[in-house]
Amino acid sequence: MNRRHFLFGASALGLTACAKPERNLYSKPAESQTLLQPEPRRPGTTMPSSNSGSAPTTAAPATAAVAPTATDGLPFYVPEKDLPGLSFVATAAVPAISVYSTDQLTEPTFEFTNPNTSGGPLVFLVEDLNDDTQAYKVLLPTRPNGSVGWINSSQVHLTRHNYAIKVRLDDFSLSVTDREEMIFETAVGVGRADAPTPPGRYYTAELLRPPSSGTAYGPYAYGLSGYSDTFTNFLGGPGQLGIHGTNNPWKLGTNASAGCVRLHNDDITHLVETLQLPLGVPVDIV
Amino acid sequence: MKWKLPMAAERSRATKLPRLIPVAVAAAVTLTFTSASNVLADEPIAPTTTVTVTSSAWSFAPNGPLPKRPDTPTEVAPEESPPATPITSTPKLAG
Repeated sequence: MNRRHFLFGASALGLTACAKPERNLYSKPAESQTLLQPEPRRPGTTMPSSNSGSAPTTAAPATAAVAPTATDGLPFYVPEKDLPGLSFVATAAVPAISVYSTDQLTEPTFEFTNPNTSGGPLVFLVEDLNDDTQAYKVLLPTRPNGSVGWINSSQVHLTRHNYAIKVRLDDFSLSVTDREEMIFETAVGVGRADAPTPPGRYYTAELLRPPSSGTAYGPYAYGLSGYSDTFTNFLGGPGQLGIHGTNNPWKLGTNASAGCVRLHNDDITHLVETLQLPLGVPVDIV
Repeated sequence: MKWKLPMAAERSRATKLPRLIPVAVAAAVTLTFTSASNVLADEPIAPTTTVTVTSSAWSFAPNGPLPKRPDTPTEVAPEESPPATPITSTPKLAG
């Protein structure tokens, strides 16, 4: 079989793998992915020109990805020690990234601009690839949550890391793993009952530093690839989910936010300055 | 000390490199030259030389086993992702 597939999705399953070591490293991580379809644009349908959170034209259930059983499915040589929790990140190398519904890259369905609306680099979490057509299947930073599409590998720069973040809504916790080993865990605040944090698989799409650290976002804020199911407009933004600090630390461990994941300011600073997490870290909210 | 190119046999013994013995050589080259008189003309210059290799064959008898091909994949893994660089901007997240 010329076409080789691999799936990095399970890289975000670091914690899961710790708890259930029998789980296949390359098992399919999420059933909620949607795959963009190559239908023509409908009149009146706007195509997002950036990661503004606008809905893609059409979405349908994702096709099942082939899950290799061995690491030789990778098109790269990766040292054995770097395989646990391995993720690949595609960073845009051109001003606009076209997204396709298939790995044949025949007709783009829409495109994302680079840099993104915050002025940061446009990044995607790679979920699969076809090294025959040089296409990467990526998780998209747009609605609906879990959307995926194919991009041309020649338009991005590929890097790798072994980090993953997991947020457990039921016990208000966030944990970080490196090579499937837990390296940090803390308490968080999550969405209120009327604005719940939507479970799903996302990734860190941007890192912002508010001009003042005394705001509700604290000293740093990771913008995620997912969006609130409640708000399509929030403080002038599209209702994008985030992981950030807070100026209400006494509400950590409660359902207090509008959908974001709130950390103590010391904790978000630890993620940014001590752990120095890259962009494109998988974030599983369960 | 001035370095001197050793003779082939001497080089083989000295460096332990595989000694290659040409067994058969057959080559013929046909060169076709066309006029270059249009070089000064105000028009694109067409290719002026055509080289046709009609036959070329070499056979080598190495004095040792061929090196084993490396296991695939051989492409080097992508480099590690750099730490995220904060962008100073007012977030508009669903805080």
